Amino acid sequence: MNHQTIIDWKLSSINNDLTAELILTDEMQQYIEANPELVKELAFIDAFWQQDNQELPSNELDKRFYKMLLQAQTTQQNIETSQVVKQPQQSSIFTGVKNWLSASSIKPFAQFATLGLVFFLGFNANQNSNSVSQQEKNLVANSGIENLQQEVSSLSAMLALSMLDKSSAAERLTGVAYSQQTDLTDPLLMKTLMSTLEHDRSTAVKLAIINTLNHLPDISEQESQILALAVKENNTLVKVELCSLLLNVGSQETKNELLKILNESELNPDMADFLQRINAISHI
Amino acid sequence: MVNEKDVMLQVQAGQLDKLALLYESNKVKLFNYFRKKGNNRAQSEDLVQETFMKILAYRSSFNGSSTFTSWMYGIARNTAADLYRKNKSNVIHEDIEDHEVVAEHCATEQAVSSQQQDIFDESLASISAEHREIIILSRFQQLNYHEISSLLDCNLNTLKSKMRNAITKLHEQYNKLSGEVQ
Repeated sequence: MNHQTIIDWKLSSINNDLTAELILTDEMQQYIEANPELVKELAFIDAFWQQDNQELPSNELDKRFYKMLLQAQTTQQNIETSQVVKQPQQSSIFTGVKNWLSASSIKPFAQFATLGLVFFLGFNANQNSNSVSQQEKNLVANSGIENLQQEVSSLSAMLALSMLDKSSAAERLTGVAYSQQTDLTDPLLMKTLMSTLEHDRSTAVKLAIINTLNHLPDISEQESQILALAVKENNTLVKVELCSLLLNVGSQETKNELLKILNESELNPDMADFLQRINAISHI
Repeated sequence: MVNEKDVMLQVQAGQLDKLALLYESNKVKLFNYFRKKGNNRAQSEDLVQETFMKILAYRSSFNGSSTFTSWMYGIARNTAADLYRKNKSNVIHEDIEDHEVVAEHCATEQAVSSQQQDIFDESLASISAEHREIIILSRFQQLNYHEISSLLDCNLNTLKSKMRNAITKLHEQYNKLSGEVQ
């Protein structure tokens, strides 16, 4: 017997290690008593294992978790609803025939004749409906893929929202990257992106959001907000990118308004020249 | 008592509301796990949130062959490792002493106990990351040797040996620090 045996026993007993012998024998007890250093060691382990200094997280964590859970549940419900709506009502005729056949009042001959008729109709229908059933299969497969894409998009939106809320710019950039994996139809995500674009301290995050907006097929809903941001933005790089975004994909009306505002303001000549060039290219 | 494995299988089957049960029974433990690993309060809360987000996202990968606890800590460890990789340039223990002072710590007994806890925490922070991990999982998360060995992917005897070394190192640090305090 040595110190190691005793410490192993102690650690096994506090860890509920069922593979080890957990009973303290007389021999072990005597060994412990004969070694004051070992007594100190065991006392230390006891003290360390018994101290109770668990910290509690803030209520903010609960709020964030339940918000995330609610969002996941809503997404799940939307997917289930769309699946129910898309479910074809193919079985209704067969269910009717089955119910009729199972009715006790039908005589065996009538049942046999009906089955024959069903077989004949089914055989003929199958000859003509190969192409139709293929189309149906494609439709079901497409709807499956669509649902999967929708789920992935919702998950990315959820992750994006969470990351955009983080204190680190690198994490917010990750959030923008997640948002690019969605179709950006989630109004909450779009609102968060626009708010981040307006208030974020990091130029990189702002530029990444502008890049994301550049890939949208239509920014008409955000145009007025982007215009306002372009006008009040102090960071030259971000200002140029916002103006480029509007000049490239904005409506003619917004472009005119932007050019008018820019002409009235005292812009750096190089910047004004650069924006005029972008505007000229956007007309090509 | 709730069987967490069954609850997780229900979450997997689509009963997402059941995740709240798992969250409520594990949030404090997980939060303290991240705190003991050297993260500040805000980071630890972020990590708890991210862990549960990943539990939800990867729910289909839970196959029930391990306990929910060890599966959850596997995710938690990876989440913390991701953060560590991102913040590699930052000092991980920058705020290990940044404990909030609990109100009404006037009594001498409480002060002594608090001081002892501080020394325990400091000792824990000063040993190697591997040793710290084993002690945290065993002492603070109450995982048994089997769960820890499967989580850390090492055999039981190796784990016991590492645990013994970890405790010895911790005790040495504790003696050193309490000697400095006295």
